[in-house]
Amino acid sequence: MKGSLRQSMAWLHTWGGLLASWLLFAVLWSGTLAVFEPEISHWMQPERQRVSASPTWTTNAQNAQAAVRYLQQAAPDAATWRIELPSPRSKVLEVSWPEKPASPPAGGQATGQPAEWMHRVVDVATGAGIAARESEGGDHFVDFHRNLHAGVLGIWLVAAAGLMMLVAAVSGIIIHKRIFRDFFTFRPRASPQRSWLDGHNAGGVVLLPFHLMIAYTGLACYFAYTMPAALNHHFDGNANALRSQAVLAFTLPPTGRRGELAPVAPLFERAEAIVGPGTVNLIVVRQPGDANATMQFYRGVHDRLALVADHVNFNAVTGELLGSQTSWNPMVRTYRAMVGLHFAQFGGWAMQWLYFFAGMVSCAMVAAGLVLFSVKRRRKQQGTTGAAGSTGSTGSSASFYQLVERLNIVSVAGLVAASAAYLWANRLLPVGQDDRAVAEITVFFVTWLATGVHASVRPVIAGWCEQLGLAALLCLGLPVLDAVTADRALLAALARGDTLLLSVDLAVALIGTVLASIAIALHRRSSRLLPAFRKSRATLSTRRPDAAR
Amino acid sequence: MTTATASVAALLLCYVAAACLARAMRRYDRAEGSLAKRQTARAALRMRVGGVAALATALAICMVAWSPSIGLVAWIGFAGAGCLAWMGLSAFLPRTALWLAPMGAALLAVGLLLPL
Repeated sequence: MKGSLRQSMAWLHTWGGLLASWLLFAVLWSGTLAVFEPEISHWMQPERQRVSASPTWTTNAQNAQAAVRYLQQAAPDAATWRIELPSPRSKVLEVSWPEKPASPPAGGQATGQPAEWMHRVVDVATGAGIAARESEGGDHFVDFHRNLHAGVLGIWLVAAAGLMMLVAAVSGIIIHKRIFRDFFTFRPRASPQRSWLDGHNAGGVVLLPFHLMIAYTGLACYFAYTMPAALNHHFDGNANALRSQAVLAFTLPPTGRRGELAPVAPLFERAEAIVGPGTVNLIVVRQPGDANATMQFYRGVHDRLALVADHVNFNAVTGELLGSQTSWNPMVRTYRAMVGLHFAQFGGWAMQWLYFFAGMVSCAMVAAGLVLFSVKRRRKQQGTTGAAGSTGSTGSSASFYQLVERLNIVSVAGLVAASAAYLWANRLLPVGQDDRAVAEITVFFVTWLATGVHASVRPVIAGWCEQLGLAALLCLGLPVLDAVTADRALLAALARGDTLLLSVDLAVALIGTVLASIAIALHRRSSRLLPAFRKSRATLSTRRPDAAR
Repeated sequence: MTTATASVAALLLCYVAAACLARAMRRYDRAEGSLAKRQTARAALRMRVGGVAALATALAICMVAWSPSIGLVAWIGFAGAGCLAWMGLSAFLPRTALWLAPMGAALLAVGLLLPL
């Protein structure tokens, strides 16, 4: 504790915030991009749109029938079929199935390998399946946001960052003396320290409800890790046991006898009569070749806060209704409302854009906090070295602050550049390359690593300008790249009126413009401040031997 | 009311609310310097009431366009966006920010009255 509560909280906010912010920026940035996961996936697999007729011209019952017809030919022996019906965010009819048997053959041993899922887009007019290029698409950002591609360790790291975000938000409220009076204060032309502080405060205070909500619901999503007491007490830590109580399953044991599937359209209409007309968006068929095949119709969640998917289950051969779940335990509904608040599947385009905007402002707030820390310490350090009798720790603290400044560059500008490089890799890597999805993600991490090397050898201000400039160039160049690669995807999208693909290009170009203007402003400002900055660095290095003595 | 119309209306209302509430603050009034004249306590109160009314109207619009639960979330988002829009504009283009508030209110009134 350092003196008063406010001083203690200021210390916690500064140091806790600094240590968490490098990771927190990555989590927030990837989470912000993950809001548009279906759109990014759509952009990264332009082949998905090459269907001769849009499935939105036909009814979903007809689409479902077309999908089943295709799957009966393409994957008659698969353990499961998934049929995703067209929606405003993904205007294609997509089917998927596990390539390897999900359960071991009779008498055989399980291989232990998870089944590899095959994905196809079904052309409703011709009945053909279209294979898109191998890519993680927007799922890369979702996975990075969820666990940094690092499994359970990543989950713990992300949870720790979320917890620190919550701590920083609460300690920030306590240390902010004039939270309401400063509500609308932003002075970009004041001193650097003042303007960065204003920017940090403005983003933090105005979006405080969003920050508290997103941090808490993020931790709630990981309740099995972060708040496991109830799970341990009631279910011995078995999350699947909890799930089986919350979500009713209407399954039938396989008979081993062949069975012919009943027509889908009548089942579809009966399902929509239960969950609501026009709401079914996912169909799952289990053991489709068996006499005990089941067909599950899931309701979409786009019009409700709680992420609970009502479902209706039929015997897919006889058409008998096995059961449905349209009401949920209040505790499950409360928990899923928190998950829904975090995932932002509800409310349509307006909500998705609001989440994206809030996420971007949050990223800017964290970045402003990181820069503010450096600007403040740089000023303090100049004051210390300028004063007679400076302390012996000056040299080591100078090295520490240098490290902080370089980590700031990598974690902010480097990550943005790496994200843009990931999109470039999608267009530049050969379509038929083995492990293509892994190669795209490798490009992301290698670019990020390269920005780390660059930041460690370049002067701080030059590092910021160059990396922001690189990110801006990559973002601004992406629509051009899109127009000349992937069979001129951009031009084809223009001709087809494919607003999803166009909006990704436009949004990336907009981000590039903002990054370019920041890089230019920083360059101009630094060219004015550089002589003074060099002078202070020179003073620091000449005084260091005195300090050691 | 469609969600697209409601989004535009709520965003405009929240911007107007932010402008009113900011103008009602004495500190902000001083910070604007030559642009703003010192206002009386009565004028500040009027601004404050206007700001709160605009926020309440935006909340009602959001709740009608979406459901009450989703509308509340949307309103919090639009309130934040409106505040940040006002803050950014008044920092870089103070005159435009000032003129945009009554223009936004007028546009909104016309837009809402047209269907009647």
